[in-house]
Amino acid sequence: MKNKSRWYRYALQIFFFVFIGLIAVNHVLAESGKELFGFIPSLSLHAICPFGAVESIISLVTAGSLVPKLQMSNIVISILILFVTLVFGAVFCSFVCPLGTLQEWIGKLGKKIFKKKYNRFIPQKLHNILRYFRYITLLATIVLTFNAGRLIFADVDPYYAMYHFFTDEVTIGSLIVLAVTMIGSLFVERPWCKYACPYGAVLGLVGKFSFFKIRRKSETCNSCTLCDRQCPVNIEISKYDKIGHSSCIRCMDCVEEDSSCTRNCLTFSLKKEKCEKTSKMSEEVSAADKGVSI
Amino acid sequence: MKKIRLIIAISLIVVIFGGVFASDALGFWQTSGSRNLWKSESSQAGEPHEEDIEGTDHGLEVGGSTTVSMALEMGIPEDVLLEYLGDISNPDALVKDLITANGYSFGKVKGILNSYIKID
Repeated sequence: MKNKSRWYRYALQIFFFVFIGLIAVNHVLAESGKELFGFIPSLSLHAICPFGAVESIISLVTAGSLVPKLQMSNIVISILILFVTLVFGAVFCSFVCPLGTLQEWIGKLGKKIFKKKYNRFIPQKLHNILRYFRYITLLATIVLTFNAGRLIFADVDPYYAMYHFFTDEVTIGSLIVLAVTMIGSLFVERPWCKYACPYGAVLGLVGKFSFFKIRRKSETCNSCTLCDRQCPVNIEISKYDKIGHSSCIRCMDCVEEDSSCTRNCLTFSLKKEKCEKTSKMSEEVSAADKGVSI
Repeated sequence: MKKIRLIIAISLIVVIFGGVFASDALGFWQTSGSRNLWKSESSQAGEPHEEDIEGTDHGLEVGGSTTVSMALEMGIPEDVLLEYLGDISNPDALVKDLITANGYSFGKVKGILNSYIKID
């Protein structure tokens, strides 16, 4: 185990993946008169989806009502997630979201297959254009949900399909999207998160204003772009001093102790850390450049 | 850096579960029958509002919070309800509870009931 701190994130991902799965299974069983895990609530995933309140935002504001299948619990969950996002950024995506977790797990297999080529199949310029597609998804979902008066996104929602693929409640469309996402994860890291997730778009925008941000110490950074290559969501970290990028999911892979950065140029902090030992660090950096260890 | 990741993990657990428990204690955590948020006071007690009934493409659907009176209002024939629900004498009884008590799968029966819903 290279880095124990990474496991705090993995542990939380596994917990939510299993916990939400048990809720979904319990709900399906409860509908047929059984309940497998008495200590786990048997709620509809629609009722605890944080994206529900966003989907229903127009009818919520204009008529004070939610579209069918959504409940007050959606608003509560949504507010809680937005609060955390405002503090830390889009950590929901990297620490909680089960669909993100699934993509990450498949991505680990992809990394083994394609090694350094993994997550490099889409040119950066094309990626920079494609990532705006999730805003289109978001707008389309909000408008179409309001017009239709029902959860229209459920027809293509891979998250719902992931937990209900064994029931007849899932549409073919959502199963296809889930399959494409899973296959895509073998080549590209988190394809759904980067290019299509409407909730990720919301959290990304809120995350831009988060108190904690990943910051680059430009004094010591030599723009080697190793961090750019490590970023799962293809952010060109070396181009920013403050990574408040809307795509950043705060996975912390670039700030880990075993991250690719050999100079510890990246931090996750409230404000920019002053380089107290700038002169000493500069010495270390120049020595490292020369291959000398201090 | 180890601390930051641990702080994020703990914060997420505390905020999500703490928030849910707190909102439950305050009465905000409603996972059924809370669609009409600030208009429900205007509706008469015991009388279902059309917006309170779960919906499909045409606006109505039998769901977990649907009562017998709501199902009848949706236009589902009484004999069909009797067949799957058994006793329908209590208009406030939940359709879901009666179906499962009658030994049927709610997931399957709700599909059958939905096919009887009359669209005006």
